[in-house]
Amino acid sequence: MNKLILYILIVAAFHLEAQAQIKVTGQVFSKLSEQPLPGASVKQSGFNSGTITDSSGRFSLILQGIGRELRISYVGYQSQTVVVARTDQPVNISLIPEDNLLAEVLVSTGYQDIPQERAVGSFVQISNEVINRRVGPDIISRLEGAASGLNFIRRFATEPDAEPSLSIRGLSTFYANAEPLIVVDNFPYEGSIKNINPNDVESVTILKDASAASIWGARAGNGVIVITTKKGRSNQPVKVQFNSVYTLAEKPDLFYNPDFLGSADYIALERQLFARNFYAGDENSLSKVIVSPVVELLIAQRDGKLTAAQANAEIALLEKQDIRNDVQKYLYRQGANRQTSLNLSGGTSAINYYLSAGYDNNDHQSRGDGYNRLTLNSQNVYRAIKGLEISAGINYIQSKNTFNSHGLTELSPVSGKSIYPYARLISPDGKPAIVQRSYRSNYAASAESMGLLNWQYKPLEELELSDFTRVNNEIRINGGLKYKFLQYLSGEVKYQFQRMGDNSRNNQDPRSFAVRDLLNRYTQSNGTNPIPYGGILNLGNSAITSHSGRGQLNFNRDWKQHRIYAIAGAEVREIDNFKNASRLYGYDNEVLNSQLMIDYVTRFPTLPRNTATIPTGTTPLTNQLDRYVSYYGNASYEFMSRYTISASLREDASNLFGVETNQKRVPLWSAGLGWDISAEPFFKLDLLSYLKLRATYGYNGNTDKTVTALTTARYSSDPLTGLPVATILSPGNPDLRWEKVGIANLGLDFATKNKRISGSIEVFKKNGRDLLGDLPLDPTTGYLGRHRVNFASLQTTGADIQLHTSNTTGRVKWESDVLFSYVKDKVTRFDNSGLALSSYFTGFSIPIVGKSLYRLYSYPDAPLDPATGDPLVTTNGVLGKDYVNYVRNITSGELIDKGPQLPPYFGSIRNSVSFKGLAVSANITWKAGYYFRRSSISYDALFNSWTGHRDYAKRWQKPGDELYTSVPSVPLLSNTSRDQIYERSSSLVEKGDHLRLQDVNLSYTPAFRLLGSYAGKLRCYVYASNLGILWRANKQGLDPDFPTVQYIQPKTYSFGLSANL
Amino acid sequence: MKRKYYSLLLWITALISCDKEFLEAKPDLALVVPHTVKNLQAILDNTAIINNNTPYLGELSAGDNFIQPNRYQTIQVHERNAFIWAKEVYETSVVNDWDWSYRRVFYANQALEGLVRLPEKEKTGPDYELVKGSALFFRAWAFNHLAQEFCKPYIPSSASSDPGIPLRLESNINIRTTRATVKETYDQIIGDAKLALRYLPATVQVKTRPSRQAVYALLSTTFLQMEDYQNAKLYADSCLALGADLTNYNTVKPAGAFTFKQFSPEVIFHSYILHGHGFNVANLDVSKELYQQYGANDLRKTLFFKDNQGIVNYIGSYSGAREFFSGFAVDEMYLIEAECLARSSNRVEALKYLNTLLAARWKSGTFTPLTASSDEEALKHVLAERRKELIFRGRRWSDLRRLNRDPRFAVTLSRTVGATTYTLAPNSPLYVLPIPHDVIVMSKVEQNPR
Repeated sequence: MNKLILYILIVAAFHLEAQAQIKVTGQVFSKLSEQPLPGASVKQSGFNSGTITDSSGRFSLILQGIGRELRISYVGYQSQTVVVARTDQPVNISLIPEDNLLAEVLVSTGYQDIPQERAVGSFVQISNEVINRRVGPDIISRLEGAASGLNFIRRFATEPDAEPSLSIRGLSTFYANAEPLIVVDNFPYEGSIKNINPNDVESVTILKDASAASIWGARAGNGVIVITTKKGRSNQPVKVQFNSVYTLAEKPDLFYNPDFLGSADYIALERQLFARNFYAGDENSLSKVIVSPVVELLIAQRDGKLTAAQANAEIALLEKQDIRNDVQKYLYRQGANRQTSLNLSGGTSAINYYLSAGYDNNDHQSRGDGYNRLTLNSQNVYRAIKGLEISAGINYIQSKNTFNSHGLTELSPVSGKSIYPYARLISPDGKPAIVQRSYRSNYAASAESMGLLNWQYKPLEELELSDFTRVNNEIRINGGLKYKFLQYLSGEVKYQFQRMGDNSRNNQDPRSFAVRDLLNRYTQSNGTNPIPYGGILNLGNSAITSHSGRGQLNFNRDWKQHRIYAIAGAEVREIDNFKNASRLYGYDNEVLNSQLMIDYVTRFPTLPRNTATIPTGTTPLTNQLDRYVSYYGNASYEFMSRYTISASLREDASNLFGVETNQKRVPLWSAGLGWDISAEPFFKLDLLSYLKLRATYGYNGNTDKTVTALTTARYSSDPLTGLPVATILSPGNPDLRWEKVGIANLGLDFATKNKRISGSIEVFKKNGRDLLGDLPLDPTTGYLGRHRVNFASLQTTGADIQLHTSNTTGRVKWESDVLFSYVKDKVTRFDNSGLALSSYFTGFSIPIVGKSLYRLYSYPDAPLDPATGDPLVTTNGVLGKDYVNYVRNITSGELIDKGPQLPPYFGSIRNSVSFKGLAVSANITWKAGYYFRRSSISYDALFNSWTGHRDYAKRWQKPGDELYTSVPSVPLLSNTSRDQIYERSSSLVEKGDHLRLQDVNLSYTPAFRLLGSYAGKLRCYVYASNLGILWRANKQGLDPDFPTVQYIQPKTYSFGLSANL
Repeated sequence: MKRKYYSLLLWITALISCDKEFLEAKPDLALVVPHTVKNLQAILDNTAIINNNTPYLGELSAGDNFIQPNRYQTIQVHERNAFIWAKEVYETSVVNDWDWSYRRVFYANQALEGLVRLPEKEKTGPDYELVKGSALFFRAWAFNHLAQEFCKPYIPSSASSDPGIPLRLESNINIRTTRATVKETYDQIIGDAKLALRYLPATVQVKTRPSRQAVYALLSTTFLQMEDYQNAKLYADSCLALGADLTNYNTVKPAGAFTFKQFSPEVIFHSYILHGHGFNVANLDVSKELYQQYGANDLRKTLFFKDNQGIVNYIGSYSGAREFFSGFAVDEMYLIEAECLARSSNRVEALKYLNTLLAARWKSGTFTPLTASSDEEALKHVLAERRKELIFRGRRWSDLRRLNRDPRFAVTLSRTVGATTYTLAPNSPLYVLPIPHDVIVMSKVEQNPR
């Protein structure tokens, strides 16, 4: 009774207040440009009448009834609802442009989109804004330093722009594929991800833990990168986006590479070696082995063909020469990348459309190398009947690479030798110079008099003749049907066809050295040649064709305080990978004619003195076929929007797995819990406005295509009988299955009041089980060697922290994004018996149980003999120079383990400051706690491979030097064991820790009235990347991320303009 | 509404109902999964694995050869140890004699299992039978090699308790290794060989493939090893019945570095001994004691050997190259005939076989047939000629193991390396090589006492 009275009183009070009409005034702004928005619609919720803002964005409105809610909308901006708290003050409302959907972040698993705040798994969403902050032709490179737990590894790169390998939360396999699965628009992407135009990408989601990724089952073990492309939206007027950017890359700095010895030192050494008769063997070789120009001069001087003064004068000239200057000048240039893209999107209630075109054209810093790419994309959704959605899309990409450059590597005079440092590309008369290649200079020079083709090599002429291209055509067609059976139940069928064809074409001109050399070598004593005169055309073809089909039911229902999301489906995939290569001789590019009657069987005598068959240039056909059948399901239940339980299951069968595995049907699964603590009534912390705890556990899988479940054999022909014979490659393994990674993840998401500080902290533990490892087999089984079976295990623990802070608000806005990742692995089960000790020194050092994978092992430092500068080692308890036995007998226990080769700690700090339309941001990345081995002088390489090193200058030269240097003296004879003892010594191990200024972006979005309706829609920007290392632990000036490159990534500067109309 | 559900379910089922074949596609089309008679024959035709590189440590230990002193340190550690009959042989080396013999067994088992999996209609015909018979022969042959090195000789009184070799009759790599008895070992060899007789043709064109003649030769040598001279003779008879032509060495014209051509007419089945560092033409010096036993007019002295400034090199392999022949040839059958006859007190017939052989070996017109006044004298002639004829054919080690048990023929071997002299007493446990260390560790089988 009392309650009823109270109710009546309350209603009456509201009614009374409603009687008094209340006027609200205010102003509407754009959140991005902070400019007022004229013409925005302001309505009271529940009423149709309203008002429109004036030219300065102001409005006034009389509120009806007891409502206090305003709804503000404006084309191109998200509609917003605000509750007017105080009517005695003007209300300021900022609308968010539709591109920057900040309110609700949807993370995509590739099977469904989940609002991030409801997800319990570890998802990292990389927004369009972050993707667009960076400039570059491909999407993957834009993720570097943008996501916690994602590391880019380039420790084996010889080219600075070589594709890095990606790792999400460290390692979880020994031998299987360690790269994350990349999903583009719901299906795994096969082929080169470089084909995707980054301007077509809406967002990227990284799935890190079991709960997020286990829906991908047997391929999720290394994490998943889900790329979602842009689509049109319903009821959205036509929208045009345009972006054009020009990027300039500096010329590379070849002087970076320490593996180079200057001409003066190099020549001095050649003189010494010559005096010791070191080159006598080469000089008298019947194979006309190449000797360097200085040695030629010394030979001429010795033989009296030159006077000492003449020879010395010539050599003095060479001493001043440095090939790096010539290469930098003639073979490299400033790189230029141009990227333009345009897209059009929109939608009505019946149709959504997205159309885009993009064109990239890059001139690489290596003269003659380039890349261009055309992308065309159309994605449409039709709603023909109520409840039915038909989607259809087609994506066409054509890219073309040209590989016509000549770098230092291509100048290599003969396989296994480096170019001598005093080579020149231009002779003093300004014409392309001869560089020694393959044979003694006098032999090569006499070719024409022997009736052969010119046998000399001029790199600058080669540059012009080279015609090597690779064209890649990709087509992706996708279609789908989605039907809503009930409000809460829909079914969908999706299909995708992808074909990526790659055609390489190397048209070797008859004037090129490679062709002349081949023709000359096969010239017979009677002047005939079994190889027809003409060009040589090498063709390579490969194609990946995949079909993917999926049927899925979606269930989505909430009632009262319950909410259930569930999906279940099945998927079939087939990927066919085909490759071949062939060669045509006597090719004439003008008329496309070639000689087909070539004798590949006879062994011909070849010049200078050998015999050989004609190389066919044809590689065996390869054809690989992967098939998968999978069933999956995922469900989450939410109670009171506070408590979430989620679970997923996935079962995979594949022709890659063994029979037993496909029959057993053991699914991979995950389960998770989420608790929004801040939604609890007891939670009353002023400081924290949002706090959510997440915990998940489950299994992801990983497959290795190189291991087969079947007994396999390879055919060849028998050397004794000529009969076809088969050699058994693997004994078959009916138990072969996917690797299994169990992942536990604990996460805490938080935000302080007004989101001044927000972020998440996650800790995880991964247990890789059933990992493929090599197990030595009892030789009595008859299968010799190690057999790859599912038995090893690896444990990885770590933490990811991401923080976003709004340091200042108001007119000058300063925001910071901080990422921190920690990851540490430990081998828990592995058998390394019988593996050669030398493998401990490789990048993939042998796993040792109890230690982390890929440690950097080295020999203990060897002191130098004070009398000779030879390294001293202890063999059989005696300090001496028995290098061979030292290297042979040292045990793994005696090696020095400096630490991991991959960084356990890494992260980034991005600061963004904006003021009105001006915004500047800079990203600093860092890595710590790891080691790399730097190169140094190897006398064997110096003597025999002509490869020097700047450390030569620091070598032991006289007694007493051993106090200052660890670089051994020049030995009389090269000795690889002696070299190894130094090259693998701990003194060459450097700490990898560093801090890098990755990039800076400066953009301006003018919002002058003068621009009229374009105000706030045009943006121009300047972007600079690879700005260099701010601090590094090593004192050698080396970039620890690129320990093996010839030059580091050149700085690039981009200038761009984008429009969003 | 229900119809809508059904239609949807139908859609999904249609999409995913793939038959088993979908997942049975080969992932790499260049890989041949052995599943046809042709593939299985190709497995057994792989001479590099099946025929070549038969065990060599026995031959290396058998005393007819010496390592040149300056080469001794350059050969591998297990070869050095085998050469001086050391207690510990392998140290860290791999044991190819074991490993590669069992690889033959693995290949044979793969072929036999492949045949079982064939469709019924293909389990017939000469191609099928050749694979079946060959696989059985190769398995028996490989077990025979292993039994000569890794278990005691066949002694009827203790054969059922003496540990034999592991008999792997399935290719499944997960089966744990166990040792059979010596009796089971020889029973298996004889059983496999006798079964092979049912499938193989009498003779073959390609001498790397076995024939019935080769199986008879294998059975004959096996019974000889077992000192079952009656059976040994029986199978030698069967073997010679299929071809008994000897090459008259007067017609042999050596061309090149080695005397004979590959697949020479006397050869029944081709194989050769592992060509290690220790057992290598360049490192070997033929025992002077043996070399001097060849008569001046014995053509073998010049066709088998080359005196290279005091170091005697062996150039007479039926492999046609530097590798030492270990297959079966007609000459060996003559010697088995002669030995069995001499042992059964038929010295006249015995000497007939021996003299026929020797007449083909001596310079025309110089050979005086051997005579004997007692069976023992005849047997001594046969055994002396057996050693000379079958030199470096992988027979001497088995012969020593067999003949040492008879005090009349027992010998103590001795070698000198540097200042040290090593000896090997008759019937020493050192006549049985140790089982490889890895095998002991992984399977826990019993090690041979040394």
